[in-house]
Amino acid sequence: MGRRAFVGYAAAAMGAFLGAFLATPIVGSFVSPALKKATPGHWKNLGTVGKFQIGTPKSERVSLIKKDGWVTDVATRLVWVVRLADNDYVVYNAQCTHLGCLVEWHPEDKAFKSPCHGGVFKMDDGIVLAGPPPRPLDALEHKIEKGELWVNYQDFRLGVGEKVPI
Amino acid sequence: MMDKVGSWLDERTGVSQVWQAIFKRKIPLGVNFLYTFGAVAMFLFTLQALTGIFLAMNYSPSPEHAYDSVLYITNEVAFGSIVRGLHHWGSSAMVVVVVLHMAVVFYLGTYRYPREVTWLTGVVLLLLVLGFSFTGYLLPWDEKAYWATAVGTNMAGTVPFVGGFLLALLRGGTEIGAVSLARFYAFHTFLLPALAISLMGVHLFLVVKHGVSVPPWIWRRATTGQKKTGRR
Ligand code: HEM
Ligand code: FES
Repeated sequence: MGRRAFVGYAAAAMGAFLGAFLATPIVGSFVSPALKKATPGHWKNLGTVGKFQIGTPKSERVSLIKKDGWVTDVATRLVWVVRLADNDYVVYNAQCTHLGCLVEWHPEDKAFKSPCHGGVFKMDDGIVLAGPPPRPLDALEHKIEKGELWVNYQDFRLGVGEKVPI
Repeated sequence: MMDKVGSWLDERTGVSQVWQAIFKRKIPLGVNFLYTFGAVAMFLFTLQALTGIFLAMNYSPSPEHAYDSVLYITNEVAFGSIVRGLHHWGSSAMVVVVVLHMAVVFYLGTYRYPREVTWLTGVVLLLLVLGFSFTGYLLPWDEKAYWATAVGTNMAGTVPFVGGFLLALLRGGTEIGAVSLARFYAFHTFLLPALAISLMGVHLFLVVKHGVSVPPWIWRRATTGQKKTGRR
């Protein structure tokens, strides 16, 4: 290798090194939000059990304190509470598991329907009856304490077969 | 394969001529590190542009959020303090290097015929670099930013006849507030980069067109027929 070629390669190598050195933090700062771990659920009080009637789902708003970058604010989410029997509840995250539209209760069909692409879910177990949703409605962990219903609100990745918390 | 793609492209675009003109041009004998400051300025400009773009991805130019978003960058974004630090120190280095570059051009007298327009575009580039510094200083929206901008814009207000107009124009009103911040942000991230990049294009075109000036010590040797001095 001649002197000229050597200097050329050396300059290219130094350039590549410097480039990689500077690119790491710059690209890293951009990519980091995508590598964050899932946030844990929030336990929320949905009120006294008396207001839930057997066989008639009722929607409830859930207010979460969410940290959104440099803004900490209240985010509102929706759940559907289904009382199946006296002491048997299911609480669904209202987001359609297809792509996230909020499902609505259709009493005439006894089913939850997504307003967006025809997703239909069964009331008592959330199983997909029709449409593109890849998994049943997401049932949320819940408990009854002193006559009040609590739900552990959690969001999940949409559009995929598995229930992955985000 | 690469050769084939290369010659296909070259036949249709002539890129190799551009490459030749920029990287394979002849450089006069005796050029030394003093001639590198322009390139250093360009490297720093690129670094400012890149770090700036990535800062903008986590910054909000509104009075309610600017300061919090800067804190967020510094304390919570991975490598955020490094990216911010690079941009912060890079801005000072930029001013230093551009002034050094100008000083070299001045003391070596290379601004003379036929490079006067190179010099003139350089003068505007210097002003643009200072404009970047001035507008960028407000963006963190902390006390220092606020008062520095109060002082800076008040200086504009002292210009005879048009001072009041200039002041209101810069601030977008009588106070430093939401409109000022939005304006400074737009200057800093849209207007000034567009102007600077265009002008750097002209500046570099002229540098390539004229070729790098022959250093005075070589020039002297050539005109007086004097043999090698200590330098080469
Ligand atoms: C953003 C700022 C600037 C950048 C990126 C820049 C870039 C460059 C580069 C890469 C060169 C060729 C290498 C060299 O001679 O150093 C150059 C040459 C030159 N620059 Fe600048 N420059 C800037 C600001 C200025 C300023 C402020 C002036 C003077 C007012 C100036 C005047 C010149 C002149 C006259 C030349 C020709 C020098 C010669 O051929 O020997 N430039 N510039
Ligand atoms: S979002 Fe519900 S069917 Fe597409």
